[in-house]
Amino acid sequence: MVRLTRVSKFYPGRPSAALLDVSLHLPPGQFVYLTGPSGAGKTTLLRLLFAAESPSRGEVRVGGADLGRLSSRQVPLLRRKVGVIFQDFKLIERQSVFDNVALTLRVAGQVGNGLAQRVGEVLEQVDLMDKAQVAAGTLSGGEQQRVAVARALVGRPPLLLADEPTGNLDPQAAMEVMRLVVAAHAAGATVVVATHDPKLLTMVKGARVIHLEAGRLRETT
Amino acid sequence: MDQVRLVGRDEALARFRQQLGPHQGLLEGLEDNPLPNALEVFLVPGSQEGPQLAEELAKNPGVAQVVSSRPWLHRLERSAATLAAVAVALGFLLFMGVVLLAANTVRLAVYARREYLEVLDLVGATASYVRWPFVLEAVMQALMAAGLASLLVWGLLKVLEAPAELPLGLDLSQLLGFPWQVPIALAGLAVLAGVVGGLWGVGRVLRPQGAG
Ligand SMILES: Nc1ncnc2c1ncn2[C@@H]1O[C@H](COP(=O)(O)OP(=O)(O)OP(=O)(O)O)[C@@H](O)[C@H]1O
Ligand SMILES: [Mg+2]
Repeated sequence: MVRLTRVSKFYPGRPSAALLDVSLHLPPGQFVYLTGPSGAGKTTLLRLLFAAESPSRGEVRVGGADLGRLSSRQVPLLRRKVGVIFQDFKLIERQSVFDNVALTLRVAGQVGNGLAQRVGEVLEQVDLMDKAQVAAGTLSGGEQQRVAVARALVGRPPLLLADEPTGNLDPQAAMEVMRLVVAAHAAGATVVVATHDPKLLTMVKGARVIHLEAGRLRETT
Repeated sequence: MDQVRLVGRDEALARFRQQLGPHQGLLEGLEDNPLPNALEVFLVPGSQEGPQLAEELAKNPGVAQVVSSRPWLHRLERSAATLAAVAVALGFLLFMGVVLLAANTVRLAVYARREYLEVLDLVGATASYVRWPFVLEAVMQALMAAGLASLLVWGLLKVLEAPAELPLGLDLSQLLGFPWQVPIALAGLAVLAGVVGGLWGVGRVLRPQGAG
């Protein structure tokens, strides 16, 4: 599903590498934790995986595509196969929960009954059916993150990326969000969760844990 | 030659009186009509035989004087050409202005909605999906501007239109007419300006990062 080959990432005006010589293979259906202190390069690695950054050196492959060589026309097609969740939700606050989730399908050209039905299904899954018409910005943090999870999952992406998904949530809401992420994994998705919260690591038995430190990769199983 | 018409002295005086309009009082002091009988000769449009004809007519013993509107028309044509050149230059400047305005408006709109655009980009919207609402908005604005401009030009020409006939049977409104093509051409230019400015304004902001 994901293969990094000797990937380095330098940001302009920064002498030290955000990622240095990282090689990594994630087979389909794997659940991976990405850990490491602040500034270790976790976000950078995730951004490489949905083509929000391109590698300075090395090769990033997702689902067979070499992301360093994607044309700007191909990037949206990749994004539709990768669901992403952030610490700060990134919802369109003035729009309804339904519209936030439907956006993923709409940009892919889907309309009508099929869309409404699929959005309803996912809202049921994240237990927000009763809030479907509420403006997303008025929800609690936990609810907003569940909307973000629904938006990430509604297109059934084979790869789900989560960058500190529970960072802004209380333990109860964090549990609910992680339960949804785990369910997506159970349904077949490859999942990468970046976190520096050790408590999260215990939530999935047998998950792979990858440790980043100053841009270098170390595996702890 | 297209047409020859006899204008008797009395008719000539009546016409002169009409052309003077509110200044007809000037003619009060006249004891009798100083105007001669005249023949008005209209040439077929585009004819080059005017000067030759004038010469021949002048040789005729019954003709005291030949007056040609030609030099006058020439001057009018030349100033019309200058005016047209100035208008084209102004039009070009205005066009560029509208393009810049559209680009700037769109840039502001993009900035105001950057969070929404970030989400669109994230969930896999294509560049054209993201752009077309902005470009459409720019085009609508440019069309509105074109409508206003047409109205303004039309109104200006209405004001400039001469109230009475000009000498020698010329009608200024024919020179300053408002052809129906004007609003259509303006609308076409406006759409162009909107599209160019809109795309320019959206510019790099919305190009997916990382792919290049
Ligand atoms: N857009 C950027 N421009 C310049 N430097 C950046 C940029 N993004 C990240 N960096 C730098 O790259 C390094 C890795 O950052 P990254 O955000 O990947 O770390 P992280 O592991 O996600 O940290 P955190 O746990 O705090 O989120 C840091 O030194 C950071 O300052
Ligand atoms: Mg980070």
